[in-house]
Amino acid sequence: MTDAFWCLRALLGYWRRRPLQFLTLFAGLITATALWSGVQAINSQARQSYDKAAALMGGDALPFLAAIKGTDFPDSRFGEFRRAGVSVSPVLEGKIEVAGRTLRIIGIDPVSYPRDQGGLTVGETTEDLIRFLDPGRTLLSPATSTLLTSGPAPMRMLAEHGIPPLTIQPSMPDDVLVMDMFPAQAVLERMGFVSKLVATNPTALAHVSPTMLREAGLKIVQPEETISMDGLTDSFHLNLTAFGMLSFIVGLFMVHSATGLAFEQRRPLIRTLRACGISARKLTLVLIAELMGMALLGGAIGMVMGYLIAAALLPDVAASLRGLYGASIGTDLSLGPGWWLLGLGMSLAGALLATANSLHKAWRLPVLASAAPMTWYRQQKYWLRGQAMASVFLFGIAALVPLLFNGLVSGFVMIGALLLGAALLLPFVLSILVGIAGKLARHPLPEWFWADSRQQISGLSMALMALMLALSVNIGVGTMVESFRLTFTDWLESRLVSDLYINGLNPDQANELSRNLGQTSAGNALLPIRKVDQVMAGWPVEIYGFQDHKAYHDHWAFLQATPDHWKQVAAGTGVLVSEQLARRMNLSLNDPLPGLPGASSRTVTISGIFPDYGNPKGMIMMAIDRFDALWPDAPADRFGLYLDPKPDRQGYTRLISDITDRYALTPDQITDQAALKAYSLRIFDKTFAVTVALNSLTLMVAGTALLTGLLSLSAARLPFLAPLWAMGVTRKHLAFLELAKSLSLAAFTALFAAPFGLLLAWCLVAIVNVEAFGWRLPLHWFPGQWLTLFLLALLTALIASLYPALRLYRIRPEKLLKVFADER
Amino acid sequence: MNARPLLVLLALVTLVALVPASLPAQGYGGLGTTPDAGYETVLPDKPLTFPQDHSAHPGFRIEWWYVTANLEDQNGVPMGLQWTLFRNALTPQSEPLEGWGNRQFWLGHSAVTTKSTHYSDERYARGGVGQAGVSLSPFAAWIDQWQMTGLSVPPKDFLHKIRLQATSDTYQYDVTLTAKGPLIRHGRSGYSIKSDEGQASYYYSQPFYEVSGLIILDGERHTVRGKAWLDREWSSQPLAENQSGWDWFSLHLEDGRKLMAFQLRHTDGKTYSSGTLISTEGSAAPLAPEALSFTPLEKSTVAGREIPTKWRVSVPGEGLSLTVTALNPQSWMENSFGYWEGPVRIDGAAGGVGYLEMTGY
Repeated sequence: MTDAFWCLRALLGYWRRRPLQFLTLFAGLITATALWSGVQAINSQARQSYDKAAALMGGDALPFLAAIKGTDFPDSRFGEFRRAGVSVSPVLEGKIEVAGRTLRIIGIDPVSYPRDQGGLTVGETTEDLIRFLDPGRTLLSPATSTLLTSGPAPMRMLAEHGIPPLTIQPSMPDDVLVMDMFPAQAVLERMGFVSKLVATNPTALAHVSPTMLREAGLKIVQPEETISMDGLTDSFHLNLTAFGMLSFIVGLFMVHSATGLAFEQRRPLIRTLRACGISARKLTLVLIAELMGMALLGGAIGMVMGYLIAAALLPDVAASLRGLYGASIGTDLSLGPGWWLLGLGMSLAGALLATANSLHKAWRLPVLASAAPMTWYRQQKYWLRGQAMASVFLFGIAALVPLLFNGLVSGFVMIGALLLGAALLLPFVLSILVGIAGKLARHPLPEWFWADSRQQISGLSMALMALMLALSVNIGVGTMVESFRLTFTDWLESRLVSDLYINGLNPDQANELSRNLGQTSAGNALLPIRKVDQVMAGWPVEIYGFQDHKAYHDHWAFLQATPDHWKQVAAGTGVLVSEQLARRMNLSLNDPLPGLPGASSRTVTISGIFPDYGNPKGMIMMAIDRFDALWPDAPADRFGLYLDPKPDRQGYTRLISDITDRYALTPDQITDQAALKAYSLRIFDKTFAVTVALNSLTLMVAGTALLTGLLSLSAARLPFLAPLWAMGVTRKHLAFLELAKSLSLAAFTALFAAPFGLLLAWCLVAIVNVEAFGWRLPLHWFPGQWLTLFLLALLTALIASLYPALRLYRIRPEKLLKVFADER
Repeated sequence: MNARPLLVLLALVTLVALVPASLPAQGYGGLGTTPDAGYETVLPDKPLTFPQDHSAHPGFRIEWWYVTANLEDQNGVPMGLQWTLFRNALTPQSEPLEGWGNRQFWLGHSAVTTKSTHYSDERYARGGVGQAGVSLSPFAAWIDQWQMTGLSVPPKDFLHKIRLQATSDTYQYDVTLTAKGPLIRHGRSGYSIKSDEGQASYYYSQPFYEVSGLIILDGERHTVRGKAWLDREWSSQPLAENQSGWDWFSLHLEDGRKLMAFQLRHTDGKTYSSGTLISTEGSAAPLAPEALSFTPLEKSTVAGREIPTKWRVSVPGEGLSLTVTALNPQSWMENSFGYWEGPVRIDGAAGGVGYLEMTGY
């Protein structure tokens, strides 16, 4: 035991003498754990939120009865179905606004509510149930409770709405209030109505008589027809995981090079220890103990950083998920012990994996082996060819996967294989490029410069690979996001047909406004808009009714349309559907549209398919007359106001204030197109904020890898630089050469990364996006962005190599002299 | 029949708890004596009126419609069935409110028993929304698809002929009951005393039903015939504080007489007994506490406890000494709370069949 202790002390002494190398190793361990565990934290948080939301209503796990028309229906149906032996429980759902926040109200019957549905506990005792009913209880999440009780105004609003006393239940999703049916009907002003009858067990609806359903105007909705957040958001989380994995691997590379170097440099020490009688087994165990200690410490720091990263990113992630999928996740990070243990476990396992090679060598090191420290670099060279071969194999996988498999995961596998292949190929390509440059050089110093660069590639390859990956991902994701933004802006232009959108006009007011506008200019028009939300093929779909007008003809953009699509739609025989809907339901032009109530589906065909970027729901546009026949009860108070000629900005402002004053509208009942566009773009930017943040983080990781790589090398490289210094190259010149070397290697790496970045962008747009969202983007090129990234790569290299160069510049000449003195 | 209120309260603890596993093992005793402020009180000299009293009495705290039947199938195999609907008012409400503001809660129990099998099931519901309730004209008492439907028209009593239906996973029955005798008022014209402290309930029965119909048990059809007994009872504060369980008998004697007899067991080992001996013509003779005796003869291990499944019930004044044996000693009602209820056989000279209910073991 004592000799193990002294052995450990001797080994640890090495790190004391080389704090920078120690820092590298530590940075590697932290990097590996931090982003990975951060991403895992975000994912698990989101998963919890989805589970809560899904478990809450049971509606997602169990089939339910809903009105064919998608509206609420009389609650007497509940008793009728129960008496007929159909075991269902009523649920009323609706929304209210409290202090500017939309809250989902869910009314349940705690007595018939399916008991084994998670997330909802009315109570365990008689008293609990009685209290839930009288005076009543409102179950809500801690965050929602904090929000609602944070000021007197929301509390007053709650009281005005007649919401029963609040009871916190941690399992509740945010922004949801669950209460008994009695207060819920009153709060939502839906006395005598329910939204659905949820089956109390999976087979409860198996034998419902079709006649009974028809007479009640209800239909069975299977759980798979409801919207599963898991499915929708998978792509997003896969994306995050990929970023986390990337960083994990980069971190492990850093650990690998740091421990590899340390092993080589401790070779004499190890040999001495062995010669002193420490067995190979004991020595290896001590080395492992040393590594585990550091991995534990580095891992713990990494976990804390991961937590901080997750906490910082979570609001953006929440915004992204809301924007992209309408999914709500909590923004208070809560992590179980499992997360911490898993993170530390990853750190330990990763560290072992990254050092397996060194440990194996230490184990097998003959006592009398040479203590020359540089063999490690030479060995690395043999890796180049192996790496190149591996990369060819990976490219093969990347090419085959999309041919053989469909789906999101195959898209990501393809991207992963492509990027990893490119990264592995990088040192090989770099050594060829540098070799060519060396051949072109005509003077001794440039020749030495290139030869030395080439020699350094293997030492820096991990860092350069990390840089290359970061750049490719940046180019790929950046191109996608910018393409998306450009398309989105164009699309907003074509979509926002009217100049103003007005909610809450009654028919008389609408007629009057229409008359007044007509008098101002014959080109003006007040266009009624209707909307209902439906579920078709298990997917939320918004159906709009609109009045045919030249405004639509002039603006509306199509991906495909029949020659006389506007005529068909106006006549009620055709509808326009969004790209998402067409893809999801596998519909083409002139196909009949299934799933409409009544006999309509047989008589309506698809006249046009339009792009609807970023909308998580499907969309159908149909003539207003047709719409009114199908949904006579839909609210008829929405209008678009089309102005021709267009007034100036002041004219708009005047018109808006005229209309709000005249019809006593609140400001949120009238929206102008410009504001709507700005709002939409703001949402868009928020949606992709997390992607941008992760991009910068990966670049930082690459920069760190480069810095630590250079630092590890700097000491070992003195024997190469000392002869040059002795031949008269100044330290300043040497430092400058070191900088130039890093920059040129970074530049070559960036050049190599660009095509892969574009390939990645194509994969994202053509495969991943279509799988994840159901629409395909036109791909645009952004050379400006590439240039920025190229410069950013150089900047990263510059920052990373500045300190090592500065150290070289300031190195004491005696140190360089010592190289010769030490030479054996 | 005295003890049923405790059962109901027990049942309703569970009903409202919704989490059966969390039912406190001991806490139900206190419920029987919680103050009954706001509920109507059972008065000694208020005569029962029909058909109104067949319907619900929402001003009272608890109430039930309780049918047990002793049957034989086409092969002479003895069977038993139970159909029960309990009502409980969580808060005093004199009028039955329509809608979700109604504070009446309902609980249904049903069971089918043979010598070797005993299946039971239960249903919960709140009142006012159609899932459970009792209507008078036409008569119907129901919880989900478990229904008791009146088939007779005036001037015949609404309960003269009724149809009983229940469906569960393992059994299903649909039987018709026809009364061959009058309604029986227990105690003093339906005012039935429950303890020395004066707890009481309104209590009447129809013990003269002849039954025919169909039971499907484990997929097998049984055409059945036999006798049934309906109990109707309502009250607001039914039990004394020290009463911990009961043994209750409803017996069809071979000679055509009927005997209702129960003992309430006290925590100190004493009992309070009561009963009614009903003649073949339907005249009821109340039996005072000291006129009855109950002696357990044999115990069986049921659901992990020792329960007497063979009894001697004696009414010395009437010269009756009946040996009563359970058809199936394992007639445990495996619901959210457990109790023993099942058909029994009267051995010896008297002969006959009946039902036994035991709680608090």
